[in-house]
Amino acid sequence: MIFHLVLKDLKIEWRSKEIITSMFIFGLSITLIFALAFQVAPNLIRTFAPGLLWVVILFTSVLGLNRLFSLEKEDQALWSWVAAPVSRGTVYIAKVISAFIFIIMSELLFIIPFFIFLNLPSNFSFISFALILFLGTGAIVSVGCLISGITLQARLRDVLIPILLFPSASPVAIAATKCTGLLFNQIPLVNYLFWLLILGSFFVIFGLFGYLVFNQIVEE
Amino acid sequence: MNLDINNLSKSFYHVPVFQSFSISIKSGERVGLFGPNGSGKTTLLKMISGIMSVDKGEILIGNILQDSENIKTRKSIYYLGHSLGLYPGLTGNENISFISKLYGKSELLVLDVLKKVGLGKLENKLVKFYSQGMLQRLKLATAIILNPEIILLDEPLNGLDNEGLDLFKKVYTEWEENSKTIFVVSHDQEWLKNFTSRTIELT
Amino acid sequence: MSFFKHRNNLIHAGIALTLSVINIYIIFTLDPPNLAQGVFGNIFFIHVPIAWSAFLLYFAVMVCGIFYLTNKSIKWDYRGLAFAEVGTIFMFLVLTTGPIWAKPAWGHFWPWEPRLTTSLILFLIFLGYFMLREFGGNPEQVSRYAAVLGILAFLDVPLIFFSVKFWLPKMQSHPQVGQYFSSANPMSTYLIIFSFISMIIISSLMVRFRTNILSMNHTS
Repeated sequence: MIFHLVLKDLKIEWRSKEIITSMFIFGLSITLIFALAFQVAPNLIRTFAPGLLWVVILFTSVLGLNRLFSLEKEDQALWSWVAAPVSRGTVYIAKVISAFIFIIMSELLFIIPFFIFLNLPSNFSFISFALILFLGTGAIVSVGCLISGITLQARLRDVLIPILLFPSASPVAIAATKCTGLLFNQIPLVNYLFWLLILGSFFVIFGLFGYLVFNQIVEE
Repeated sequence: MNLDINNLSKSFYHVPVFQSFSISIKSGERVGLFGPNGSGKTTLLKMISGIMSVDKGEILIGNILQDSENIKTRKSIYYLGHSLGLYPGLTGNENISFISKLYGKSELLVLDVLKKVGLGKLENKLVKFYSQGMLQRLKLATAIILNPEIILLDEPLNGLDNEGLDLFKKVYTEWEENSKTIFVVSHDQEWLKNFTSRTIELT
Repeated sequence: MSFFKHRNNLIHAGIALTLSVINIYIIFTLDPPNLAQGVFGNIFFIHVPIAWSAFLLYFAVMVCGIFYLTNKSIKWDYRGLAFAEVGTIFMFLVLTTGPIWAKPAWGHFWPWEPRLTTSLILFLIFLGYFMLREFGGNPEQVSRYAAVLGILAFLDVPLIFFSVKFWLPKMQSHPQVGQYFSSANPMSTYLIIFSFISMIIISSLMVRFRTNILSMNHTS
């Protein structure tokens, strides 16, 4: 069932390409602004880069989550699964997976220009970097899908998603930035297991909570 | 399958739409529902289908409580609503296949059903390019393929041309023959009188 | 004002008023136990109990949310909202008294101290909570969304606290709290407990008053 629900999101996105394209271009534009704004101190940019990277990821995630859930509001498409004999927790998991796929795809697209524009070195372990990106994105998505769910019927949804997501996801921003910073300084993975644990537990806590409460919050 | 609503209450922005509303519909009965705008006709159908939650009271479907936790009851109902309730970014065929998977129905019949409602040639066209009449036919196709015991129809005649009306009558007669429980909302009281076993007015 | 027509409510209000007058008198006249910080150091006796009560109030929002989601009684929604409102007032006081105390203790107004930062982030989430209440859609649905958000906010507390705590390890705890307590002079301990009790009594009065108003507005 989860597979069909995710496949539906992927099919729609494959045709329109609007979510990933808008996230990628938006990410690129913020990167450009950062590159220009931090030209005053090119030497310091390496210190700021991890934080900037996660700011870009959080901003683009908001855009992606908003679009991904708007999909369900067009022509009340959500009726198809709200009225169906499918547990809404399953739908939540499917949404988490779709959002994760879209956000990771857009990250892969804008991370190369991000490194090039900000003149960042790339002499670190790519596997560790992938692990941090996966855990960080997973944590953002788990709480992000829940917040998108509770704001689905809101008049000010576009505004409410970032207002609620940014403070709630602040532990993710701190932990992911810390990990990325240590990684850029070539410090091996074992030294920041604590931060990976924060990201992991964030994902587990909000993933479980979302799974449990989703059938209380989605309805017309 | 019989449908019982006991002491149902629902309000919007603290304005009650239903207060202790009760109705009982026997299996195989066809009930028409009419009333002025804002009397809660659509809301009632949405609550029965599980799309909307109830504030108080209970809805029993075949003696099982309709509840967001309980997914079994939703299998025997389909709500054919005002809005599409399907994805405009998917083709007709993909939409019907998707929803039949959600209900655990076989997809083998999808093309046959689409041909039956006259959408055979349009199966691979995106739903966002469908006209109003085609969308109505698509919803009808969904109702046919899901083959639920209880069918909730919200203004089913809207946007249908003469050919579409004939098609709808044919499908409706089939449901009647298979003794489905049908709940229809319509402004056309004449139509309701001819095609339902009893009518209820909401005020 | 039918709330004060009940004798018990009047007694509650009387006790709250008396205790706070005594509490404020003590704090203003007390010889500062922490000589290094001078008279500003006495804000400790008001800042810390307010912070404890604020977290307790937000915890109560979560408890009300859980009760509301499980038994759907509108009373729990009113209580949840009342706790959230009073909790936010208290949190605002935490965020104003904190910097007043931080200036003499650390030399600058905003230390990124874990408890204070957690307070700020929770305060921001709850500003979003009131926006959701206002703009989230039909009030009958918003009650459920708000309950979910109230639980989400408190689930976030340990994650925020630990990530901030290890983010800047220099800011381990409160400024020189140890100086306030000595086994020879237990006065400080008694004072802080007294102050905390008076805060609890005031906040419970405020919550009961708000719950009363909320239920009157909607049942009439």
